[in-house]
Amino acid sequence: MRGRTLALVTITLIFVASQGTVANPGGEGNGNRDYVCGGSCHGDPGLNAPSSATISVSSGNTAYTGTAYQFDTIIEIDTISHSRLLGVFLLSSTNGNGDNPEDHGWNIIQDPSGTTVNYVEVSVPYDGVVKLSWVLTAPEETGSEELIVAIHHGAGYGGLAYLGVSEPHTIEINQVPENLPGFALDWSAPNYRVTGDISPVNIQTQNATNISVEWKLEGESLSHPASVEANGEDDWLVYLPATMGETRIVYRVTTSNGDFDVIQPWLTMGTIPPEFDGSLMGARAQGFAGAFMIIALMVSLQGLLQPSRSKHELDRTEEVEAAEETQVESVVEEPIVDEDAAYRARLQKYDEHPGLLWDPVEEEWVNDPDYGGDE
Amino acid sequence: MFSTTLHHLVVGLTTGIATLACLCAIAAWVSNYFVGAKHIRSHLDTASYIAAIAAIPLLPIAVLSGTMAMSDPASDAMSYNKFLFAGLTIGFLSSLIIGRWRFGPRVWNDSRLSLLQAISAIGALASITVLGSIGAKMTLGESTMDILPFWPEFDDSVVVNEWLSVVLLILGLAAMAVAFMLGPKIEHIPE
Repeated sequence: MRGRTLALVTITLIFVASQGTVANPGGEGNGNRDYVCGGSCHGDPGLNAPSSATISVSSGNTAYTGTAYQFDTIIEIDTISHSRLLGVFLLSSTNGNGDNPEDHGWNIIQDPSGTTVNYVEVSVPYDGVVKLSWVLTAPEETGSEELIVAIHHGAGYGGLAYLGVSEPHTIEINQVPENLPGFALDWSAPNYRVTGDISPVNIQTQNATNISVEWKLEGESLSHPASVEANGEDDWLVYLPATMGETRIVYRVTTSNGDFDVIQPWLTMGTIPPEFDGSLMGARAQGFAGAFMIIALMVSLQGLLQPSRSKHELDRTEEVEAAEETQVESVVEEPIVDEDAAYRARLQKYDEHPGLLWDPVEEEWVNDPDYGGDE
Repeated sequence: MFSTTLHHLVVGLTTGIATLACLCAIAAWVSNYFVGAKHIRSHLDTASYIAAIAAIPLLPIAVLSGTMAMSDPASDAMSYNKFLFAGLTIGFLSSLIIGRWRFGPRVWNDSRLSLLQAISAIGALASITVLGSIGAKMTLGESTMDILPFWPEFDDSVVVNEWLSVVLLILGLAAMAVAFMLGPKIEHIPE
């Protein structure tokens, strides 16, 4: 009975403990998400609380249809979880569906992590200030659009999810001046290049007769001009220096057509290692080779390190006993056989003395054992 | 989907049983330094031996289910490393079993052989830990081993040419055959 009670209490404690850890403290990863993330508990009103973070937006309130627009936000957060993980949404609404700016006509050219999603997870630095930028293409329709920043994070060890939503940032989308040069509507900035890759970056524009590009490494203040080569109408090849390791390069394009010179937002490009060239067969063969070599090594060591036999060599009881048995036979019988044969060989038989043999060594007559009589 | 579930199940069993085998073996070795630990050493030896034997057939099942659960296995350094460390785990665990089988339960009484058995156990335990850590990194994005400052990065791997891998496999087989057939004659340590 006592055991059953203990088991029941243990199971209850496990269930109770599991209630406190239903969040995703490790994050869900970057992606395109609506305000209430589906796989997380953060939408459960019993498990969340308002965040004390301050969210501000420093972008302009005007954009032109189909042109690039940079959205900058600064998040100041004083309390964060042990993992310091912060999830940040860029939204056009907070309805719970269709919140992604792309559902409202925007096109994300680049998010803060270098990809093209509206939700990113970042590690909050120790000063508590996070600065993030999205580069988007404005909708094709004029009017008023809103962009909203929402955050969620943990704090301490309470297990609650903390949510925060910025004030809507209103952007007036104006008709683009005719012939305004900019990026092509369907062009997305490349996210990464392979380490050491010097191949040019392809940039597609609209209404541009010329572009110029400047680049710098992330964190640097001084920028450098890049070489640009026309690859067709509104198609350009930009030569940026190769990057290594985890270096991120940022570049800014100025699109021109004689009437306008439009400076586009800074774009970021990361560096990734070369493509992995392993194969399943190779991995299996290499794995088994490792196993066999380890076995061979350890088996050899077992043979070398096994207990010395000197102890057994000293203890030769069995050998001595066996040797003694053999020795008894050889000592007693073998000399007899030999001496007897030699003795018999030297005996001489004379017909005139039947039943007797002459021993020339001892010079005496001895009885002939083969003779039937006993004279 | 079934492969993923099966993989989780088999991995749990394998790591649990193999860890038990290794810890018991290490404890059996440590027990040499304590007076009057003969009986507990005997229990540890038996537990280690049986658990190691049980873990060996589970390891290939774990590898196969993991391979089936992945859309493109061994196509990245992390999953490639899993194959390599699975091989090392099989090697160390097999060595532990072979040593125990060849020398008998008194293997722990010989200082050098018991140390060798402990090294096999520690090697297997380390390999299993790394395997679990890589698995956690791949599925959860983090591992409890992240707290170690010297924990190596598994985003890189030692990849050799496919045919060279086959040559290494043949070499490994040959080395194992030589070690068994041409090595010193092994005798059970008498009771």
